[in-house]
Amino acid sequence: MSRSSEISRPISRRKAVASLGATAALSLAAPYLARAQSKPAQLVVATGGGKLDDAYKASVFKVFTEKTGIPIVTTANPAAKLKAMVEQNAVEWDVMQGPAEDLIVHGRNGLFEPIDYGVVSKTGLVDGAAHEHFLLTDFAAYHIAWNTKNVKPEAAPKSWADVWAYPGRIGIWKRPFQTLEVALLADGVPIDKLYPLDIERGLKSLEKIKSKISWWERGAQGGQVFVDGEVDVGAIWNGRVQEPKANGAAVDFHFNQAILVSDAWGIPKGTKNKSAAMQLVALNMTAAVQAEYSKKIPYGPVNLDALKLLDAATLATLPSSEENFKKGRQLDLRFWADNGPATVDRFNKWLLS
Amino acid sequence: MTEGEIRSDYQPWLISRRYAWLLAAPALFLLVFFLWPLIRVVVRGFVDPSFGLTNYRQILASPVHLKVLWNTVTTAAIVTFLCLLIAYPVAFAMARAKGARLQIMAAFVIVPLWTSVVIRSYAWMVVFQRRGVLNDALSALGVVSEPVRFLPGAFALNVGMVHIMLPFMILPLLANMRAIDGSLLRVAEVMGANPLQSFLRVFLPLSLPGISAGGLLVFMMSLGFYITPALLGGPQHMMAAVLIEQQANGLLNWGLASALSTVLLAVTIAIYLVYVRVTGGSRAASDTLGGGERS
Repeated sequence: MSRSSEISRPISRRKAVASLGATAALSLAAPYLARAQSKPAQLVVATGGGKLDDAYKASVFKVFTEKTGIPIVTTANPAAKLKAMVEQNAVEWDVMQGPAEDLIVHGRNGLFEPIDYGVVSKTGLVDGAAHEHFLLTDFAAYHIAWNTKNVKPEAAPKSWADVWAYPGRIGIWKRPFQTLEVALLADGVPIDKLYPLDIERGLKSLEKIKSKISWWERGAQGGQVFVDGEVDVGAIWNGRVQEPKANGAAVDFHFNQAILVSDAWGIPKGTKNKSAAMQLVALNMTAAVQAEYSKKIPYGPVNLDALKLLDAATLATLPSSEENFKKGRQLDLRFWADNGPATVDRFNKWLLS
Repeated sequence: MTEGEIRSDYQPWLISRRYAWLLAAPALFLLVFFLWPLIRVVVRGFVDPSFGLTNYRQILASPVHLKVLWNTVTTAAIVTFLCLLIAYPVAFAMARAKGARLQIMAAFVIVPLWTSVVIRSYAWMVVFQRRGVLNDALSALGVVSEPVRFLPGAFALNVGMVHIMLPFMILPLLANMRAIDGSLLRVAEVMGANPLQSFLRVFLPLSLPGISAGGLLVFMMSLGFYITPALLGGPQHMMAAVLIEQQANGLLNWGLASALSTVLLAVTIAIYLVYVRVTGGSRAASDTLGGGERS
């Protein structure tokens, strides 16, 4: 989506020399760093920007630069650019962050280097986090939310079926991903039998509330419609309502029947800094870094060892805490990678009907 | 149509052959950064994923694509018409204004252009939402008891797009109207025409080049709208740019995205050709640049 990109600042020669010295010293101490043939002047990481960017900077990027002396700059992450760079063999990104359901497709399309699991440790990682071409890095939740001014406490929806039955405006993402999942849950499909999705049944379920739906298109817009009370109940990602709620906005939510979605990291095929990029990816999967990240943004770790490093108050906000994880279920990446284009087409057709 | 010599002092601005080489740099720039990528887009529509008409067959076979293309054209047409209705009297008043009054009016037209389309679209959401300015005003006046649901919808979409497009209609109209010789209207009056007649039979025909230049500009720009329909419009208002973005950036299906872009481009060119045919070739360019007289 549209996000402003960071302006990369060339580092001064003195800084470069100083960091070279620091790395030389470090590489003596840390043998795995010595594997890097030549130290890149910087790494470019393409991210979704905004709060996510801030969280990366305060956790994994900070630690990486301290350890290696390699500064990290971030830039916007449109998938079209990834494809263009790889096709033209002019890759500017060293690591790309994006929705896991997108990165699995990019991996299949040959746009990523394989992950070197000799460098990246799987210790502590939740099942299904480590893939051939990418790694899940966090868990966010697409969950039930409501505006507390519009909805009386006793009328607050406990399940998607309650959301569907609510006599008011329902806010949902105008895309099939995750929206079809919750439509099926609302229609009574058991959460453990969700996949493979019954697309037609999902659309029928949406059809029942079509006149009540206020679609939102962008995440920022989605958060706003709940906070402003433009909608009464509906679905949104936890990252969009957590902070407004903490700051006293009239919005509330819970993780019951949530669909857990993930950001993922991949290494664009043909980057010149592959080995440094692999180290950055490895560092990002460690428990300490994952815990630090989850303190900055309410997205839960995929390294379950990180949960032990977090206090109860933080854990309560995270979709992948032991307690919250049981309430929902993970999005099935493979289903969407296999059926994405056809489902988007079918969903658009239904929208226009 | 009024034909014949109306003004003798009008000279179309033509570049002298001696200085034509100055255009080499911009021409090269356009060739490398505009025409070449455009050609690649068109070619990709025919070769990705395989050589032939696969993508075009897919567009024709899918009711979604055709409906979205139809939506795009009709939305652009409605916006153009509404812009014309609003812009015409504004340009008419501006063409007669002078000094500070004109400057203030011009500022009202131009200043909104300094704000990004995204910001203005979000601003309209604030106006139209359930507890927005408009609903508050309506309920304070007792016009409605329940907040009206404007979002998402055709009304909000049209207001948002018309607001963004208005300057592009007003400015060509203004350029055209300021060049209309006021003495012609006085002549009409002297010869016994009432104000309505002199408007309909003298001023309106003379302003047609402005109408068509502004209309063309607004219509073509509206065809490519993305963020405003996405934020203000309902699902049934999906426009071609949204579909192209889904294919290009979401699904990375560049073959289909290219084919859809090519269709949109073809529609635009077809409309431009009709325009040129109707208004007479060489004038088209000078009108758009703010000429507008029939010489």
